[in-house]
Amino acid sequence: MNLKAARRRRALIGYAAALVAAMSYGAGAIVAKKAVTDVASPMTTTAFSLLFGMLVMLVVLPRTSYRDIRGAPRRSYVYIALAGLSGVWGVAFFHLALIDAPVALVTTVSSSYPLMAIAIVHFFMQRLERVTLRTVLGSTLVVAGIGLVSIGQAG
Amino acid sequence: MIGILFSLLAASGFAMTAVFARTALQRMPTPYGTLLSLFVSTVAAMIIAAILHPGELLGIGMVALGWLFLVGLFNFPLGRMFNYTSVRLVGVSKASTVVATSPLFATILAVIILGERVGPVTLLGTVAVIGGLALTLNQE
Repeated sequence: MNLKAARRRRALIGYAAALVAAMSYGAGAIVAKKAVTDVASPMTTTAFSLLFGMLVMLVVLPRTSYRDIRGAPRRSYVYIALAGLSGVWGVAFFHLALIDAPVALVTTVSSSYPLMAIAIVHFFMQRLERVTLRTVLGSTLVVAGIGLVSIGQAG
Repeated sequence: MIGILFSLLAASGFAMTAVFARTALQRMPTPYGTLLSLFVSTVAAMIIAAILHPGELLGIGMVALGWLFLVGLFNFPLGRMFNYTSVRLVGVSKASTVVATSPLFATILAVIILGERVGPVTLLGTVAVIGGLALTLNQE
């Protein structure tokens, strides 16, 4: 397989994974809506759902392969811990925002995160990846579209 | 106004998650990176929940736990792991754009499962999302 075909295959798998993630988060949002309405407070829902998610991962991952992680540099551990903390930061502020603002507004504003991520990548991570004009335009359209979907569903 | 500020802070958290994951997963297998990030998230969320709702955390029932298990299953072993896989393979900017379409999938599922109705504004938004996705995905 030549380099171009390998790169294309890698991109296709990456986009398919992103779509599966979007569908899973979408399905998760439906169940979470039921959970935070009838079952528990948003933060308790987040805490327990994270705990269950982690337990499922522990069961599913083969133990024999745990040695794969030992070779990772200490820097990677720090960054993945920061990723975990940032996720909780995002969810906590999302729930706090819902106290003061309508769901449509909170969903719209918080869905602008790809534009923030693109800005961070462009200014601080140019060595790792290049941001194209098409990506910026595509992301802007997606964020605007999600805003309209949220407003439409709230209305 | 405070609601908008908190929403922006939430967005910054979601953006930083992808950026940190991209850096970490260069040298770490994605499933284990996901597991480690889930461990840190769980500890942090449990501490916050214990401060805000100590009684609820200890007195939660079995039926409630079943619902929370479902939330966790969709969002973390599935959502977060595939999100991180995508971030590693295509980069933060493209992966975040695709993953950000999740409210559209929630709307589609709400229409199919809950029978919710869709108005013209939602349809216009759907067209914009599909257009944005086409622009992003059509680069390879």
